[in-house]
Amino acid sequence: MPAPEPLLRAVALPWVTALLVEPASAPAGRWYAAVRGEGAGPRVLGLGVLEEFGTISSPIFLAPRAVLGEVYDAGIALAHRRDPELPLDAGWPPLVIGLDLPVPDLPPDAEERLLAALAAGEGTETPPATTTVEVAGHRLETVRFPGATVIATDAPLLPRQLAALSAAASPFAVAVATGNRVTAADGAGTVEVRVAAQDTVTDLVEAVRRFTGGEVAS
Amino acid sequence: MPLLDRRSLLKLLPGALLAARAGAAIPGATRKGRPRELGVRIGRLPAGAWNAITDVPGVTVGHATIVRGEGPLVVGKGPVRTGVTVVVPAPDRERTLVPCGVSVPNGNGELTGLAQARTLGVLGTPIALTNTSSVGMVYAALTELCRAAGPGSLEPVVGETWDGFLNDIEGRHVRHEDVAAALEGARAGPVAEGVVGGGTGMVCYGFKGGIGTASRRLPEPLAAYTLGALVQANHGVREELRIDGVPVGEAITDLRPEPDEASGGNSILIVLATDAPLLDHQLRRLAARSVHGLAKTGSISHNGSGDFALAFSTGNRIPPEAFREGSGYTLASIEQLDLDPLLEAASEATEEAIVNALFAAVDVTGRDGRVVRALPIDRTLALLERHHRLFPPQAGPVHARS
Repeated sequence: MPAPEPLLRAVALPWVTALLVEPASAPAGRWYAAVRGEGAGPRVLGLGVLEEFGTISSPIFLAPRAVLGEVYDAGIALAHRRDPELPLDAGWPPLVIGLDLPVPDLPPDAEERLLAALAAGEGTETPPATTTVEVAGHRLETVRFPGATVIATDAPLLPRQLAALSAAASPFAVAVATGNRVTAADGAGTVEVRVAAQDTVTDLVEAVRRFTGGEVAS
Repeated sequence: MPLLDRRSLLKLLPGALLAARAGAAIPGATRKGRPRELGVRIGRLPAGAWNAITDVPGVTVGHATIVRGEGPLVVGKGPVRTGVTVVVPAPDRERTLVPCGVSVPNGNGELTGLAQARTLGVLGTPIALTNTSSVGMVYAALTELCRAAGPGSLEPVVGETWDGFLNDIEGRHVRHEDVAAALEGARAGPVAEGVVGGGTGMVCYGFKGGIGTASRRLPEPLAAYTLGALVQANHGVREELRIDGVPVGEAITDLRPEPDEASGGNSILIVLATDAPLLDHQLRRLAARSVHGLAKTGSISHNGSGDFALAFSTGNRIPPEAFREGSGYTLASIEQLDLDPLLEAASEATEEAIVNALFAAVDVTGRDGRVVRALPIDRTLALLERHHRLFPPQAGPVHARS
């Protein structure tokens, strides 16, 4: 039996890793997400929208702190290509997490190369330092970076439930749930949102605690 | 226990005489009519049938008002000017959880269940509003009353503001039976405002404050839904007060509390209800918008304030068992990008609820002969007219509950 598709795919270049739930060319849509951190934490761009709406539509970019502005710039370019008006569903704002890594050698065409790689899915692979487990009938992936963890699950979690998961992975984590995909195209009516029971959240939190002590990607 | 003796109230609340002669019920009787009926218009959206939080179907409100004694303060005996107000989200409150969200512009106060609201995002009991020193008793009473009514209840939500200027607050006069009476008396329809329930001893912008409520019907495409607000208003410095943008507090500098030491650092509790189906993080956004309505009346949420806003949605009801365990459940949600009318309604209803509390309140004499006077309606209306903010009165429901 083939292994299931990973929840997160990585587009990795020497100065940035982009984690994607869907290809960058996918139709507009958002996923519920949350972020939690201790102390000053890493620098994070795109946090306002994530905290206000509890969703992300951008790839999760992880890069050395020294190049956050350049990576954000590439993320904005990507969002403009998807929709010039920068709606919430099409990659705005870029979510960019700064890592405590050495200053990279940034090529002059860094933005073009990143956008081309995202468009082509070039270098797409399962991210390094990924732990995948089955918990309470749901998949849980944790991807560790220096000072930050990215958590993904296919359980239908709401932002406050995802906050519990990210809080379990110190010092800083962003958590995203693929169990609900929401979009403005759903219109002005009401949409149905699946929600996991608290017991499931408890199991997932325990699993995050257990599986965030492993090797760290760099 | 008789919560209020009408004759003693008339003696203690001289401003209530007009309402009493007109045959209106007290406490909570509006003196001359609600602001909307007098030509004051807050915001753009239309009000619901009762212009009250009870316009949200299923939501009920009950008060227990405790007024006893007069003269010098004797801790444990009085004078007592306090009470408790309950907002009940759903008739089947023991078998239903509703999503909720909280916003805290300044946290120098108590709202029990805050951690629960933030981590679980649900409300499982009525919300009780009372005075600072009675939180424990009300919490214990709600715990017992809800347990008695059925399993599955979560932590009670009890909010407080300080009524120690008028009330023997140290005496902790709110009892189990008062909470039970407020719950027992919770009703849909018109809601008594002003010097009533948890608002009995409250001071707002240096005038008599208390309970106020208002509602908004939403425009298309959300026209099927209503949002209501209820406040326990005990906040603000006189000079800050604005009504529909008019600097009323700067203009009316007399009629201050006697002695003039009522703090401007006191607090407000804001409860929002809507039948629009929302998720907890959306309700947190609504709660945050209610603070805009508070700010429009002049408050800056002082350093000493305990200002809390809690919003809940009756449009989603979650069986406690499904919430806790099993394969999960399904909620309905208004699309995030369509929330604007609800955000506007949250601000407007909160602003009008505060103004309604001020218009409904009457003069109160409390401990040690201390007096807090009501907002002078005629002078306020004259100020609004001078600033072109008085409009043809809108017919509205007679508000006093008989």
